Amino acid sequence: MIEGNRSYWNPVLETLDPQRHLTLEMKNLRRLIQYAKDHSLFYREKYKDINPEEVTDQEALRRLPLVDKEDLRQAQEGKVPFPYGEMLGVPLSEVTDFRQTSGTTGRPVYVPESYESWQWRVEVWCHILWMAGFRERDRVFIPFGYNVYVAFWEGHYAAEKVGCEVVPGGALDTRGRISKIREVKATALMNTPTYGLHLAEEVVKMGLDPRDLGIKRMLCAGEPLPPATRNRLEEIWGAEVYDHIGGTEPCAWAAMCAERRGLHIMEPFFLVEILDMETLSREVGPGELGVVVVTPLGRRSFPLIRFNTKDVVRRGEDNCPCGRTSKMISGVEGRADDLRKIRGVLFTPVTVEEVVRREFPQVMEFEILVERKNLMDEICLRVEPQAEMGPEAVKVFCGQITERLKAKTNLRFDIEMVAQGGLPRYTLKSKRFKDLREVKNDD
Amino acid sequence: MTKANQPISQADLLAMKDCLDQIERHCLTLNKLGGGMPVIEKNVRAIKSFVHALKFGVSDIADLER
Repeated sequence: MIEGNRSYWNPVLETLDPQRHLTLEMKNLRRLIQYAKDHSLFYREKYKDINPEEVTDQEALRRLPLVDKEDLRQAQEGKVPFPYGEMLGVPLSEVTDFRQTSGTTGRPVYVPESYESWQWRVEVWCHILWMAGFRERDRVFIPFGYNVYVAFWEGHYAAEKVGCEVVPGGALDTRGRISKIREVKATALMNTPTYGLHLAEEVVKMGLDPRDLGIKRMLCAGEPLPPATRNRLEEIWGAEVYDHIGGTEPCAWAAMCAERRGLHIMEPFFLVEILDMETLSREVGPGELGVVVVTPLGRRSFPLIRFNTKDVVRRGEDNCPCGRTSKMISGVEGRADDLRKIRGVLFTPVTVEEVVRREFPQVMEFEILVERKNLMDEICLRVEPQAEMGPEAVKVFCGQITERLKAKTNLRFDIEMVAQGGLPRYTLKSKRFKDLREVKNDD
Repeated sequence: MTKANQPISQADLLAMKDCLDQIERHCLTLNKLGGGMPVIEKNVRAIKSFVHALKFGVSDIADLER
C-alpha cells in the first residue's frame, strides 16, 4: 500500500544517501566519545589517550577498543554509584528506569536509562514498529509481565507513541491471555517466537484455530527467529511475523520491513560494524558471516562505544525494494557464545531449529543435549511430537531427521522421543541447547 | 511548505530544525520562569527528551544540508 510520506516513520532519514548515514554516524560517534570521556568513569580511563577529533575514518574507528559484557560487569561490580558503577553517564538523580540483562550466562548487567535516553530507545522502536506495519488501527496485546526486561517495555511505549492501543497481558496464564486476546479482539502480538508457538498450541487445545483470532501481525523479540520458525508462525497464526535484533545494553539495532527479506540496520541511530569472526578487524561483505559490534549513538545515561554483541549475522545486500537505504543483514545465525566444537565440527543450535521447523511439522518441541561419554562427544535431539506416533512412524521419522541433521551439521544425532508435554515451555528466552560437557559461567 | 505525500524539501527540513532549536530555547525560558516548580521542570525535561530524539531524525540531517 502506498502511503506517501507515511510509508516510513521518517522518510527523510530512511531514504538518506548511505554515505550521508556514515557521515552522520561518524560525527555522532565523535560527539559520544567526548561525552563519555567527560561523564563516565569507565571511559575516562579507557579512552584517556584517545582524541575524538582524530576518529575520522574506518581505520581510526577500528583502533578504538572493543567493550564486551564482561567489561560492563567489572565496571559495575562493587563500584559506585550502586548499582551502575563506572558505566553511568548521567548523575544518578537523572536515572528514571532500571533495566537489566537476563543473566542467562552470568551475573546480570544493570542498565540505567534517563528519561532522555529512554525516549531515544522508544524512538528507535517506533521505527521498528512502523516498518512492521503497526498503525493507529492496531490493538496490540503483549502476553508477558515485562519485569525488568527491556524489549517489551520498549515495544509497549513505542506502540503507544505510534498510536496503537496497547493491552498488557501480564499476570494471566496462557489460557487467560488467549481469552483476553479474543475478548478485546487484539490485532497484533509481541512475543518470543517460542511463546508464539506455545500460545498457538494452547489455542488449538482449546478447540480453536489461531487463524480465527484475528491477529494480523506479530513482532518477535528475545530469541533468534530462523526463517523456518518465522514461516511456521505465519502459517499457524495467518499473520505477518517480523523479526528484530538487539539487546538490553545497546537497544534494538536492526529490524524487518514489510518485504521480510532480511533486517535493516537502524541507521544513523547506531554505528554498526559487522566484522570477520577471526580477527574482528575487517568489515565483511554481502553474504559473509560476521560478528556485530554496535555503538548506540544517542544514549547518554549508559554510553557504549564499540560494544561486541557476539551476535553472528550474515551481511545482506543493501537494495531492499522497500526503498530504505540502510545497511542490511540477511539473517541472524546465532551467537558467538553458542558456537561449539562437537567432535571437531563447528556447530550452532540455530541450524537444528531451522531443520526442525522447516522440515518436520510433526515436532512440537525439541531440546539439544551434548554430553561427553567415554571421551567422545555425543549429541542428542530430544523430540516431543505434536501427536502420538506409532512405532513404525517413529522409526521413519528418526531415520529422516537423523539424515537431514547429518546433511546440515555434519554430525550424527541420537534421537530420543519424549512424551507429549514432556519438554518445558518457555515464556521468555528458551533454553533448548544444553551443553553438559562443561559447566560454563561466562554469560 | 511541503504538501502531504510530496518529498520533504530541503527548505522545510531546515525550517523544522529551526523549530526544534526554538523549542529548546523556549524550554530554557520556561524552566527559568518556573522557578523550580516540579510541574514545569519535569514536563520541560520530557519535551527536551523528545527534541533529543528528533535531533537524530531531523536536525542532524538539516545540518548536513546546510
